[in-house]
Amino acid sequence: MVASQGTGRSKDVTTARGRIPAEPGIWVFILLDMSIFAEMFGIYAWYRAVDHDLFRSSQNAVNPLYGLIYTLLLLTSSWCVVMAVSAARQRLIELSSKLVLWGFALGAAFAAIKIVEYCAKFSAGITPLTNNFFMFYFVMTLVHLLHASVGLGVLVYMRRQVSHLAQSTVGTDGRRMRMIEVAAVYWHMVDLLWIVLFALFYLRG
Amino acid sequence: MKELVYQRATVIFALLLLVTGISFWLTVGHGAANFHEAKSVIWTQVIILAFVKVRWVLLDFMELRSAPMKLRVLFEAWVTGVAAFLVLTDWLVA
Repeated sequence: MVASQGTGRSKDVTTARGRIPAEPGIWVFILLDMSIFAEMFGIYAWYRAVDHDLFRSSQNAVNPLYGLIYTLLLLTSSWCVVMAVSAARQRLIELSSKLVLWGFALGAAFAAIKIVEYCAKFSAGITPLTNNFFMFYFVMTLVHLLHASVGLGVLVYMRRQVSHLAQSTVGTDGRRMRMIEVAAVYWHMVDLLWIVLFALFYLRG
Repeated sequence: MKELVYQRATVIFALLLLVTGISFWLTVGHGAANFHEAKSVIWTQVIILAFVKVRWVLLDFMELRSAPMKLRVLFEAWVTGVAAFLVLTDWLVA
């Protein structure tokens, strides 16, 4: 490690070979969380390969347009959050705050439409007990929805940190900026995991 | 605002949308008709395109492109390992 900026408990970690975005600790969490999802993806792929006809026929009951809409919402939300971080770095506080709000609104739209889709499935008599495909479909997308819900809370926290940047002192400024990055990294992970779920459940692969 | 939009992440965002559209067209649109002839090929295409997108999010949205190599390699290994498992399972187990 050749440089360390900021004050307080957390510091900006920069090494000779690059800068660790946000905080080192968040990357441990992200890797563990992504490993749990990797395990779920793998088990799904195995069951799908063993009983391909069932998975294929069950997938016909899943409307791919929902998947496309979710993907567009989350990708756009993530892009807003990327720009919000850039704006915060340039101390464009108001703009950054608006961009986080847009990211939140798009994420909330994702969660709301997901609940509508679940209700449509239940009213059509499709539940996690219908078959293995729908067991995976409900469990994996629900675990993701829980991550997205936590992510919405994280975006609220991010917006607060952005608004407090204006009053930050030299000592707290770096720490707030890193917390903003931590929030952004978490939200991008929610987007990243959805990209895989979209491919597994909504595309006719 | 213009300075914010004119950055690498915006190009990546456009590419993410483009690849999403291609994936959708390959499977739900055009590819669906030929499903029975080449189901493993379509699955492979879908998975590879999905993990190309995942890699872009990791490198450019989560800023791992400028991170120390050891951290980047961990996540590149996740992308490669999971994608390879999903593709190979379909070819070898089915």
